[in-house]
Amino acid sequence: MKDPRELAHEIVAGVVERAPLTDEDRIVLAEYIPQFLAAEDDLVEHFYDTLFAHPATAAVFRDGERAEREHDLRLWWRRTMSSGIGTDYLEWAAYLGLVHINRGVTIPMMMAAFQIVWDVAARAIMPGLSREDGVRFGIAISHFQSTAGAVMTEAAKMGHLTALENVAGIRQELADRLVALEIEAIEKEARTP
Amino acid sequence: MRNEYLSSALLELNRTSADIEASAVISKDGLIMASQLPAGLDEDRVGAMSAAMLSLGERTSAELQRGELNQVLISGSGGYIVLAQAGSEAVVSVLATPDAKLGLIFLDVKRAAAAVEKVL
Repeated sequence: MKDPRELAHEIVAGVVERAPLTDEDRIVLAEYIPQFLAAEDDLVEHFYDTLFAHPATAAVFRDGERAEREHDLRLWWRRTMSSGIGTDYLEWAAYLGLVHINRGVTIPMMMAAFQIVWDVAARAIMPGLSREDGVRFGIAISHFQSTAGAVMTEAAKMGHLTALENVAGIRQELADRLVALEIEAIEKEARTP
Repeated sequence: MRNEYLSSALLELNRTSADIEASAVISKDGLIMASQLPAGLDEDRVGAMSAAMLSLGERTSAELQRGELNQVLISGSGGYIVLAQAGSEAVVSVLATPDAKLGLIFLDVKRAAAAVEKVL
């Protein structure tokens, strides 16, 4: 079986070339790394307050797990910032997309959780920016969010497809064909008066 | 030309036994390459499902240390489905009646798979 980090690397390579994140966006975001790091406490608190406030996301966690997860999030945030919010971050996002399947974390949950993190970070930074810098920052973070979202979505899909291939021998082309047949049937039914 | 050879191999297979009701050659990606199927069966679905079953059979055989897959047999109240590899990229799928003598069917399918492999 392919190593999850190797798979994450392939996923990011495949997504990034079609995604909106540019080198200019990376440079803009890198300028704000000190402010991102300063937002760590707010981010960790808000992130887990939100997740534990909703039954669907709270159910993902074991009793007494919050302190451990908060610690992990802090480490992840620092790692993210030290890597310059680029390919390394995205590969980490893909890896999370793959391994979170086992914890019952769905794609919408992952996307929402990701949004919480970056909303807190953006709120901490944007009020202090000039109009022009705010636009640059807003565009860069929007490009980054949609790229990371695409990476996580692709990772979750590839996680399922890879497992299907490893366990049942069903290659991606065949899995795509099975899905296409079902969609054709749905379309046919929808067009039937 | 290749499709004609494949169709001819399937026609020959169907003629060898009255118990063989239908047959098809399918790519490992689930596309029908040639078929002698009765009306009412959706070719596309037969193709995709046969390829999926063979893939699962291959992986199960390997995982449970039974070596390379020879064939997959599905037994239903209305008859049998036999799937056999025809080379590395195709599958021969055969539908047989519930009274079919399986030993003979296996032999016929094996011959047909070898003929198909030669054509491919």
